Amino acid sequence: MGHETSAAPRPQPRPSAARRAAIAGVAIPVAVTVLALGVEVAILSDLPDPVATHWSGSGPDGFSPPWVVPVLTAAFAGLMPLAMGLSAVLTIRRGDRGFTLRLLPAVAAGLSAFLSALMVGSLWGQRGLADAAQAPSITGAMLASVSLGTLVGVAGWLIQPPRDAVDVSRRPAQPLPLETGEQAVWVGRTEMSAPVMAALIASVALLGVLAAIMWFTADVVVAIVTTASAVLVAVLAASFTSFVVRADRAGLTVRSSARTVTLRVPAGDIAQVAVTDVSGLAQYGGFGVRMIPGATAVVLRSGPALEVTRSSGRRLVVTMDHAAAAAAVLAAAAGVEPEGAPRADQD
Amino acid sequence: MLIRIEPGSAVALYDQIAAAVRREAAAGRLAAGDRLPSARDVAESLEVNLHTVLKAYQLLRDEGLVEMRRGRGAVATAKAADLGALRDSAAALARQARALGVGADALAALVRDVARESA
Repeated sequence: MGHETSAAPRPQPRPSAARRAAIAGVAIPVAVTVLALGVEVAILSDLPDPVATHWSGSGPDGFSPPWVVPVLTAAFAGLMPLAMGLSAVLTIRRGDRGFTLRLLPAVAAGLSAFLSALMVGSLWGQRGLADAAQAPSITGAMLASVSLGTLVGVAGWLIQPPRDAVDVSRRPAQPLPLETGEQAVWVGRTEMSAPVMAALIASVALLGVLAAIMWFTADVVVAIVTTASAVLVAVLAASFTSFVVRADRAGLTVRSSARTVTLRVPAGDIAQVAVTDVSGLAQYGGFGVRMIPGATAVVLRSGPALEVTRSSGRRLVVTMDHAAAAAAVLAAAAGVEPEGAPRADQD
Repeated sequence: MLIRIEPGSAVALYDQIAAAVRREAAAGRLAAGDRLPSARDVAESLEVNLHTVLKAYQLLRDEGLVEMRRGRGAVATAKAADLGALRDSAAALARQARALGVGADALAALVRDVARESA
């Protein structure tokens, strides 16, 4: 991995970035999981039934049928990192770049290695035992798999090229021309795109299935935690799929349709209004209500977005259709000067 | 949805709000099946009474541009697309008027007269 000394930052997609992200985020998780599953299946007949699957302090205190471990390996060491890696690779292929897009495949590789090693390690010490209660401590396997996961994760980061700057186009809004005595508002909804929604529903379903499995196999605490997270994700999904956007004399109001979240920028606090293009993964690391340094964003899909800059410099970004119309109303409400007027624009 | 009103105008506020929705449909920004914003949100944004907005939505329902659906509020009907087609005809008419040197106000007056005669 030689350091490339490119002369000027080019936003053009480099094929090697997508290929190397695919090695870290797809090839490594697949290879590691297949290897882990192979070992687990090979030693399955040597294992006690049930096997120890949970440890506290020195000894095992949770037990499951042996087949549960390969299933968990496939789901958590395989499918989950693979979904992370794939989502990043697909976004990189579209030409996006960013810190998160380099981090996701690396985390996928590391997580897959860590979980695979941990699952195999937890079974390895139980070979030939008649009773899983005699299973050795998990500490050694835990330390070894954390080290392995870290190594693989760092390697996954290093094999990817340094990120290019994401070129964010930003078109300042022109205030809507209003007659004297005329008043304009923009009121509408912005909804999650179908693919994002499908991913959310799939993760809720997966968590639900896992929760159900846990009630039958694992101990009650694990089952309660899994069920609670399934419910939490479902509630979050339900409340963050649709938002009402209002641009009026008072300023900008963005409220989830379930009325769980309201974000507001008063007209007097608006310094700048613009229409911009958002890439959910590259710029905000995902979808939903996101906070990054300098900005809060309601990201329901990638694409056109309304961007309002407060006088403090902090931005509120909302992905929505007809962002230009809402921006024009806000620019008029905030008294933003039309294009051509002197204004200190930075970066 | 963009809504422009002139609170000082002689035209009733609910007529102005209904006209704004028609304009959105004619401009193609309101497609069949689209949900209109809730009357409550529109009323709060415009700083008008909720019943004013409800009355505007009722007008639009009576002319078949929207239908009220339980749980979904006001939803644009297929007529929204027809209004878009009407705008295309108006654009063609405007081009013809411009070619003849007829101004926008004169054209509007002509269209109003014709519409009243045929009504």
